[in-house]
Amino acid sequence: MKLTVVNVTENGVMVVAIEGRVDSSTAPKFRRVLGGVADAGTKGLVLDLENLRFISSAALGVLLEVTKAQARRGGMLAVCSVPDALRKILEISGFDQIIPVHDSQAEALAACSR
Amino acid sequence: MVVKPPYKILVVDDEPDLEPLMLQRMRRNIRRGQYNFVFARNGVQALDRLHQEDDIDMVVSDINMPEMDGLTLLQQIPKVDPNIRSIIVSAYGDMENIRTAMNRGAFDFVTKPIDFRDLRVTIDRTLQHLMEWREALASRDQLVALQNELTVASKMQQSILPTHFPDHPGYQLFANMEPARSVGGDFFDVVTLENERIGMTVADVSDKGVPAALFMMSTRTLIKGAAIGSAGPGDVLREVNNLLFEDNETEMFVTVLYAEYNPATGEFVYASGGHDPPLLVRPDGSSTSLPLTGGIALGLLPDLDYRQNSVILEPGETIVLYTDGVSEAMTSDEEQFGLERLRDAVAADPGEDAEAANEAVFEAVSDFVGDNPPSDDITCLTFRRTVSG
Repeated sequence: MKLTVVNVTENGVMVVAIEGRVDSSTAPKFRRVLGGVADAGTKGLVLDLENLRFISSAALGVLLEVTKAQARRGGMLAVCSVPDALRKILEISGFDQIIPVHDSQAEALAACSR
Repeated sequence: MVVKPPYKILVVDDEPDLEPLMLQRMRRNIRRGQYNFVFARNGVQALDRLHQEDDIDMVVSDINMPEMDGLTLLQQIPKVDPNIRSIIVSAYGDMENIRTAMNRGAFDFVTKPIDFRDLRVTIDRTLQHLMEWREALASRDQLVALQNELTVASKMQQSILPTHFPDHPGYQLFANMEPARSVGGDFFDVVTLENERIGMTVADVSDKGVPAALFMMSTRTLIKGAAIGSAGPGDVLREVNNLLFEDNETEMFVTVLYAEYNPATGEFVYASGGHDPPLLVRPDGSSTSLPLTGGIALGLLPDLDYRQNSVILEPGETIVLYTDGVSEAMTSDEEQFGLERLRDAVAADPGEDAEAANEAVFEAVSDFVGDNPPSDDITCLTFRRTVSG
């Protein structure tokens, strides 16, 4: 698993690319890093999942945790560029009804900047 | 083995007729040396017995009794011995008391009027759990903390799975769960409902370890409780979601496929909480995924509605319920088993026997992944309307 901050916009939206596998062994680190970024007061957080190959259900739990924490602070979290297999998982689990899913970074940024 | 039969069971009920009835209905188990019953008429008497006799393994208690009721008794039992397991006898559909009982540590419940066959199954399952629990405690000192936690969790997981399935001329059912080495939170369950209807659950808890195992146990019991007397699968998931959400301080969640079948009409009704949809397999081997009902995984958000969908099963048609451990089983090259291979596996099924069909899925997965160890639990349940059903 690799997390890279790829962009911070003028109005404070951060784009983080997640690569590789987020499984049970990397989920705790995922929670620490993502939670840290959100706690730092990032208003909008966009996760680019284009190169994410696998995400375990515990890691999906982390995404929800951060989504809710963001909502409580008046911020938001969105994901974009979701590979088909993962999109299917989000759809079946119903998480696409909780986490905003966008086709591209540009679209997600626009939604987070509103 | 830490515990040996006969297991000593304390039955607590203010109804004097229960004692001879229990001894009569359980006489075979008593004669075979499996159970040994002792009785008390209320919570106070029960506590006295528990204090005097330190070899009582299990308590079966009514709720409403004079002097001390069953719910109060439940709170007191762990102070005498935390390793005693309790089963509560409650009124049909009394979710409030059932839930309070579970929160106070009851392992399971049966409803009134007592179905003694159901009680026997429940007692056996509780004893099985107790045995595994005590073994885990006994071996605790030999293991490092994490290993032990996973061992205890996996034993808890195993202990809630049904070991036998209903025998009915109208349908066949078989299910199995193969645990991953250390991770996983799958379970399945079968519950007998009114008018010969049957309920079935396949579920996957998002986390691992003891907290996840406890979450799994309460999910299973809440589903069982909600299923009895409910208006259908959508209703069951709505109720269980709210109950799980209330006590859920973590972001743990569970994906559930819960379905009910009515042998009188052939109607199969299901609802999904974030779970893969059922696979319908026709007698000619062709198959199709039933529509998703769009519900979110349970335990995350309150007051959600869960839609349900229904199909009429024709004689010989089969429903396969599975967890993502099946569809996402992976080779060492990270290729996934996928839905198409699952459809191939069920198409090759030998015919009348749900057990063989279910095993065929496990074989196909195992052949596919080779010696790559499974990264998630694998659960599959096969339900078939018999040709004559």
